[in-house]
Amino acid sequence: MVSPLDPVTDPRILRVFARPIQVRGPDGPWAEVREAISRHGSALVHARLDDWLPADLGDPGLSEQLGQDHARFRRMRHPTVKARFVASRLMLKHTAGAVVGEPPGALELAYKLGGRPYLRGHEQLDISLTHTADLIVVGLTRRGWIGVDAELSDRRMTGLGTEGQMCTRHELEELAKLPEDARNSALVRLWTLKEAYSKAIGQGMRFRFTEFGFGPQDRHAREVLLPDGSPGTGEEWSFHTCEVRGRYTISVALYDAGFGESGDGLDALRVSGVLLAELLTGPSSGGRPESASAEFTPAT
Amino acid sequence: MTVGTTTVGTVAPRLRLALLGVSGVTPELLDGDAPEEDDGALDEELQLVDDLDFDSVMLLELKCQLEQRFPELGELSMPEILPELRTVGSILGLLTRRLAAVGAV
Repeated sequence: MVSPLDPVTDPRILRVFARPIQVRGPDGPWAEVREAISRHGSALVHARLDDWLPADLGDPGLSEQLGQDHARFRRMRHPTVKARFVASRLMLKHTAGAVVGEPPGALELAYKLGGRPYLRGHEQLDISLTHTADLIVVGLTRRGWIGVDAELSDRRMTGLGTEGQMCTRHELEELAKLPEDARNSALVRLWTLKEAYSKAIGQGMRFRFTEFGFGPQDRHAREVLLPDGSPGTGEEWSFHTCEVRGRYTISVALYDAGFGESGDGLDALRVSGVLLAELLTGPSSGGRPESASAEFTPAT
Repeated sequence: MTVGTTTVGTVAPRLRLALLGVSGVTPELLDGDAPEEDDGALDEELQLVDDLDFDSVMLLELKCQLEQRFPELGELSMPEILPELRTVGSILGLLTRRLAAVGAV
């Protein structure tokens, strides 16, 4: 079932993203997910946590379903974290399994440095996972790289003293122009876009979020902006933000490496060396990292 | 539920205050079933993500809290400290090393 979302009006966005698809458990609907991948090369899939939560978190069968994640699952102390962890892994494996045509239990979920998940043996299908409250979101693409992030739309982000760590000076200036009651939701949108982009790049919070941004007042983000508001990326990047279930803001960033659906060429850089150096070390250092492959994302 | 405590001066009590300054972190999460130690010691094995339910916004909040509670360390660089924002113990280690480096321990 396609969730009732605000329509995607930008034809370029429509080309690379299908509308988000809600899956309600192991029965899918997987045909819609496969159709989205087939037509667009990408899919954005979301679910309610309860729809994927096993009745018994102590079920010995979870060991086989979670694979190497089961050891971490057993060590977790926080019951909510445990529930989100197991539900999100089951949903991710079922979704990816539906796309690659393998049983979920046959897929091995592995992690790069910093926690970004990937499917061992299926690296041509890039995946990204996020969850918050009772929402789980999975992004999948054969085009290149994908990053997704979700937050409660009314999550308090202004007034925490963190805006200066989250925003470029251009974003702060633009946010200040908004009516006060619109600033928090605008910051939530900006944050999810930044998180999605940094996840797609493969850097996570290792990026300086003050060194890249988006237009706080643009309905559809078209490109990454440098701190002064000038363009920082080209048309190879696509972004989309939407609201699901009336309470969650989801953003997705997609880098089209020109792979089509072949999935070849994964050694290509995800971001230019100059921009990457600024994002990692700040504009004044002039430092240049050796590789764009390391990433530091809070484990999902 | 205190496993492996620290008594490195006032570092642990100040870190406790920093952690409690992050949205959603409660004394119950930090201390589990055990009462708070008199010296403000912390369970060093607590994982920020898996045990305290941290996400990326909370990590940013923690960075700001650490800068407030440890002003002698100046502004902290998220890319530099992020690898240590894993467990309470790894943060204590980071703070202790940095305080020693600036002659504050």
